[in-house]
Amino acid sequence: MAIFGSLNHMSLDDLLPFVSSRDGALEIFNLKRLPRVTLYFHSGKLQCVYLGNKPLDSLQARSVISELVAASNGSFEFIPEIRPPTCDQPLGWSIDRMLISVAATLDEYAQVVDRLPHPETVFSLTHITVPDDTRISDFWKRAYIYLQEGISAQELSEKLGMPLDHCRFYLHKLRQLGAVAPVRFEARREKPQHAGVAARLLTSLKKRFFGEDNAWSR
Amino acid sequence: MTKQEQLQRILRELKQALPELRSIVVASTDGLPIVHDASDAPRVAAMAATALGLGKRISQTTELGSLEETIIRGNQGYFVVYAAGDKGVLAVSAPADANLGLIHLEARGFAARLAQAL
Amino acid sequence: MEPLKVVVAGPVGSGKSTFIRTLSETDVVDTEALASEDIGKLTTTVALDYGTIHLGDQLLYLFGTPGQDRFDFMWDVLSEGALGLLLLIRGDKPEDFVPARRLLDYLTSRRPVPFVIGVTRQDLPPVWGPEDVAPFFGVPGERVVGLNATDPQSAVTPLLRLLELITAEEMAS
Repeated sequence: MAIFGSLNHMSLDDLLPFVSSRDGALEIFNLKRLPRVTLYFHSGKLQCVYLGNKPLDSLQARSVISELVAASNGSFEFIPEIRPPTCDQPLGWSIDRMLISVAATLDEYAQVVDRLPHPETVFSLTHITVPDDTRISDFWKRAYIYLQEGISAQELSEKLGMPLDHCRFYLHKLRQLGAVAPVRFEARREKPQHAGVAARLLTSLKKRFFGEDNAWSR
Repeated sequence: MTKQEQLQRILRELKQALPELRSIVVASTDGLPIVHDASDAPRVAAMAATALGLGKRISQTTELGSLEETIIRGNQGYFVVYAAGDKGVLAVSAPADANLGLIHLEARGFAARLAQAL
Repeated sequence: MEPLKVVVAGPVGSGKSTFIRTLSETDVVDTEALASEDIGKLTTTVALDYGTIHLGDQLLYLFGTPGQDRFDFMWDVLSEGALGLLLLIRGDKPEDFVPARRLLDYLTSRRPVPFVIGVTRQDLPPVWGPEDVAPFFGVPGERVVGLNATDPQSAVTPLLRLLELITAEEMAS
C-alpha cells in the first residue's frame, strides 16, 4: 500500500491527520517556491522538518508548514518507518493543534496582507516581555536580540532564514500588541550642515506670507 | 477575442519578432502591469511609467518634440520604454549587444498595435 | 547658496500636488498620467511634482512624491538629502491613515529626517483634527498641523512648524 499523490487535488491539511498516525516521512516536492520538504512523524506527532537536507528550527518549521498548507501545486509521497538523519530538538507537535494554528494564521494573514509594514521599515522593542501568544513568542525569542538594536523585516528574514512576508506579518502582530514600534529618528543630524539655515528660512517665509508684523502664531 | 487575449497575442508576436528581448512589460501610464513576461512585473511596470512620465516632461520642457522613447543603458543591457498611445506603456529589456535600431523599428510598430488594443 | 528641499509625501489624493501648487512661486512641474484605477480624480503623479519658493538668495524646492506603494522607489530617491519631510493626509479620509502611517514609518525609520504631518480639509467637517491624528500616528502633538491646502496662509503653516522644530532641535544640541 503506497501513499502518494498531488497537492493539486489534496491539500496538506486533508493529508496530515491521515499520515501522522504512522511512523515515517512525508516527502513533498515539485513545489513552486520551496525545495523538497520532508516531515518526519513518530508516535503520532511531527518531530522534525527538513528543507532539502537542512533540519529546521521550530520557527522555520512553522513557516514552511504554513506555506505547504497554502500550496496548490506539488507532489507527495509517504515513506514508512524512515527516521531523520539527525533530530536534536524534536518538535513533538500534535497535528490538529498545529493545523488549527496554521489555518488561523493564514486567515489572518490574508486579511492584513495589504497593510503589512514595508520590508525596510526598522522596528525596535518597546519593552522586554515575552508575548503570551505562542505563535508570536517563538518569533519574539529568536528576534529580540536584533529588535533591541532595531531591525527591518528584510534583515530579519535573512538572519532567521525565514520568508520575508512571514517576518512582516510577525512584526505587524508585535506592533499591534505594543511590543515593538517603528524607530523614529526624529531630528537627529550627524552634521550640522543646515545649522541656522532653518531659522533664516523660517523668518523669510513668515515675512513672505504674513508680512512684516509676523501676524502668524500657533 | 477579449482585450486581454488580444494583448497576449501581440506580446507573443513581439517575442517572436525580437527573440533577444529579456523581458517585456505592457503597463498603464499610471504604473499597473497589463500583460508581461517579466518575473518582477509590478515593480517594472511602476518604474516604466515613471520613466515615461519623466521622459515626456523632459522632452516637453527642453523642446525635443514629442517623446519617442526613453532609454536606460547599463553596462549589461538596455531598458527601453515606449508610449503605447495615451494610456499605455511598452517596456522592454535587451542585452548589451542588441541591435537598438532594429528593436526601435519593431517595438514602435508593436507599441502602435498595443495602443489600438488598449 | 545651495538650494534646499522639502519632500511632500502622502497617500493618493491627499492633496500634495495642490499643496505645492498653492505655495510655489513658479509653475509647478508635474508628471501626471491618466489614472487607470478609480482614485477619485482623473490623473495621478507618476514621478514627482516640484515647485519653488525664493526667499532672498535662498531657494527652497518642494518635491511631491507619487502616493501609491508601487512608486516607493521614488520616495527614497526624492528624500535623499532632504531638509525635512511633510506628510500630508486628508482629515476626512481615515481609511488612508494606515497606509500613510506605513509610509511615515518607512521614511523616518531608515534615516534621520525631521517631519511634520499636515492634516487637510480642516474647513470641511466632519474631519479628524490634529489632536486626534497625533496619537493615532504615535507622534507628539507639535508634529501635527491642520491646514487648508488651497489657502496660501494656511498651507504654509506645516512648513513653518517643520522649520521651527528643526531650529529648536539645533539650538538644543
